[in-house]
Amino acid sequence: MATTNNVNGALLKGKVAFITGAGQGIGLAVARAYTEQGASVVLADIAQDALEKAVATLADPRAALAIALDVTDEAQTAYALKITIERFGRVDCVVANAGILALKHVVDLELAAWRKVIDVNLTGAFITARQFARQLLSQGTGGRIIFTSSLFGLRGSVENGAYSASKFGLIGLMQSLAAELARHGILVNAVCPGQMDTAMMQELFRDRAKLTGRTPEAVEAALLSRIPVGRLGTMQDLTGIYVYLASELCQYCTGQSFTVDGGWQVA
Amino acid sequence: MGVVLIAGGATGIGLAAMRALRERGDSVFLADRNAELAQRAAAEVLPGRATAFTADVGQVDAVTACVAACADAYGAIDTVFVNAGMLKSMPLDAWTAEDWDASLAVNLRAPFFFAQAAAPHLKQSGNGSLLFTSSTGALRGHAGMPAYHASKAGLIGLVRSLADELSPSGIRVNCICPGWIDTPFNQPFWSFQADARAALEELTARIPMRRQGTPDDVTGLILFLTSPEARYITGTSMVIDGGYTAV
Repeated sequence: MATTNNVNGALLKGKVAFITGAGQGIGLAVARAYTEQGASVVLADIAQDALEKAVATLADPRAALAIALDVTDEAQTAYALKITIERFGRVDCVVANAGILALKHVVDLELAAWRKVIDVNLTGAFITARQFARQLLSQGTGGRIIFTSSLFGLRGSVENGAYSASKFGLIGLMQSLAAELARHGILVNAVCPGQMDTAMMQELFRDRAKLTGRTPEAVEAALLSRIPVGRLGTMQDLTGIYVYLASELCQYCTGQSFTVDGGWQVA
Repeated sequence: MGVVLIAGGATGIGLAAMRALRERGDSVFLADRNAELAQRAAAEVLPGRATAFTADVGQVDAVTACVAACADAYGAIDTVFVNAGMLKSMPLDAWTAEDWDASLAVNLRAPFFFAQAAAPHLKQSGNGSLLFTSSTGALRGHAGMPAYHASKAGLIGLVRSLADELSPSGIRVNCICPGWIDTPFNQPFWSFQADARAALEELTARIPMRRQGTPDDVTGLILFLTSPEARYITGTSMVIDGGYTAV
């Protein structure tokens, strides 16, 4: 019986989690939250120096493993699994979170840029999920797979068409995989974060301000007026759902997307 | 911890939620139209306090009375969880206006009037939220249950409107959409089937997890959504269905 909430510090005790795109942002916040709940974590990212900084910020860096990984590379992914098993003996939860943007109107977007976004965001998630799902199946004791999709995996976005297409694609992959793995006790879901307060968001405000002749503050205010909760999301707002989906509290949820957006979608 | 008002808390998902919430220390004000079951539930020995209240939430003044009684009993309300529901299964021709109205009054009107009555209290809470039990019946439809499907789908729209109106004041509004959860609530559906056993087999084969859910399967999501960890989640309908609507 579920008897706990998220803040008792032991929801993921003894679990091993593998997280891509863990060098910064959502991936790092999730890695931290998972370690706070007792999990061992493997932080994978393409940026080696970001990884080193990231691991240093964890409460117990020795409980974590960092690995440089290009998610579009099958051999690197297989290797990442291998050293995860060598270090921790098993894996329980996979967070396929790595993703990139290409901010351009579709009519101006180069094919190479489109391909790169699809390759990293969608194909990379497929490669990660396939590799680790095989491991979970061989372990035979269930498991959890979580994809980071986006608000723009549920709705389109101007100047963000490639990203949106990839995030919509993740929902299809997630639901199909969920249906295939459900009877093995492997639950597969996606998180759709809303408009988050990040360095990239601040940069977007500055770019839009220049393009439209307004101040960045005015651009931000216009966005905030669309969010019922009245503010951008923080990493702390997001980690709760990732913890829930990875934990034993989540028993019958699979094949679903979970939106954390302060109500942006309602209106 | 917090004060949770559960409407329809004496059986099924509501009862399981009451137990889980009290286990983590919440006080529960348990309203149900079945006085005996409500009292029995509230009398269970668990960490958090509990109070039973008899109410037929199909009546608007019962909803208002329920909220007022909860505020009186505990001095505050942090969560209103409207789980009460009605499921009628009949052929199309058999439906009367009374049948339709009775279903809508419980399934869709009551949640709205709970929101209206409770909003002033929830605004005072640092963790105020409204949570309604919708259903995957909001997304899929079966013959014989038009009022149920219409009202459950209506909750998804209601939640968006209320979130837009109340979240600026700090009140989250969400619904959960459980799939096939094995409780007596579904009996009218099974009784309506030509061959209930065959229908159950067919249904179970269509659920990726190959089983119906239990009330305890749902409580984890309720605990999460009513906690401060879910502070940025509003206007959503979260499905918990063993993969049923994923394919």
